[in-house]
Amino acid sequence: MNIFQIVAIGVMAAILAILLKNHKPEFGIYISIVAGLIIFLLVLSQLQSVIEILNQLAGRIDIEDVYLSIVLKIVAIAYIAEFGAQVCRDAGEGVIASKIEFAGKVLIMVMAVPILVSLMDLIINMVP
Amino acid sequence: MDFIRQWIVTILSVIIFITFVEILLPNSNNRKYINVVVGLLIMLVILKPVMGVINQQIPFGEEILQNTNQMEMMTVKNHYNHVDLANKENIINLYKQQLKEQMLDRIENKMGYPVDDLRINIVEEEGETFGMINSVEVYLLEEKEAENPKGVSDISVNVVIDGKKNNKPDDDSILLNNEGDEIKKDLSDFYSISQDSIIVTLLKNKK
Repeated sequence: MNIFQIVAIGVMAAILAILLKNHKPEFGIYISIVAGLIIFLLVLSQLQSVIEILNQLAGRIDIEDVYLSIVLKIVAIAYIAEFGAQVCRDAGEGVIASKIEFAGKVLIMVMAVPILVSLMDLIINMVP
Repeated sequence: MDFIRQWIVTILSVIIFITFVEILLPNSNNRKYINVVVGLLIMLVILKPVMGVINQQIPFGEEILQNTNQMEMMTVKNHYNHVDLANKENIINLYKQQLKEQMLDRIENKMGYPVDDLRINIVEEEGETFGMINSVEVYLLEEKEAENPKGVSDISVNVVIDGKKNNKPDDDSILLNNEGDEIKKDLSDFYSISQDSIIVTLLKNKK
């Protein structure tokens, strides 16, 4: 099972990081970053298939593809930004992490603006 | 009746889709922003058929694409402006470089004075005077002793004002006028700049 691999990698990385903390604290950061990357890559393929199925589902629903593809893009942006921010936070760089989160928010807002504008148009058109 | 059935099915499927997406979302600060977007989307899906009843069907997909395109165009425009600025800076630098090489060539090869450094200050603001030369600073190297005219023995000039050496750009330099005048005249004739804005300095040989 995949989950055993992931948990094993995580626990091993944690033990290694604790062992190294007394002698070389900087290596602990490297270990946590690499373990995080490995786990993310292991899950990435699964996540990809889930998103593909969601996309197929969206194709069956009788609304424009644009809406659902925007939602999926936003989810992807949130994931990537969250991952980068966590890696930075693990390395003790909270400031950079918050900047990454800020960039994620800006990109999500950029994605949302077209929906917002068309909703506004719709409501304004409905008012007699 | 079929129309209402279609509407309900669409709303239900969108809500199911979004519930599934919510499971996927990471537990981060971004969650609330995503919820805002999802809420807007649900509003749009619910309101769209109402709009269809009241008014003619409006192609929202197209409108969203149009808005997206508009935003992308604005982003590209910003990019373009940025690149334009960088380009302008490059052009000015290239122009300065070419001007410097040309002046060096004139002074060194045509007049035969060895040049240590040449600094050009040009108008960089856009306008009618764009690219005009503000001032030129020429730093000449001292010539060989054999070329000393009329066999005059070495003269050491040391200008001291207020108890300290005031020669520029460094303390080893002296100012000679006869060479300076020739260079000034030539440059001011060729580039049509006033002689006052040309500064010629002779550097003493560094031992």
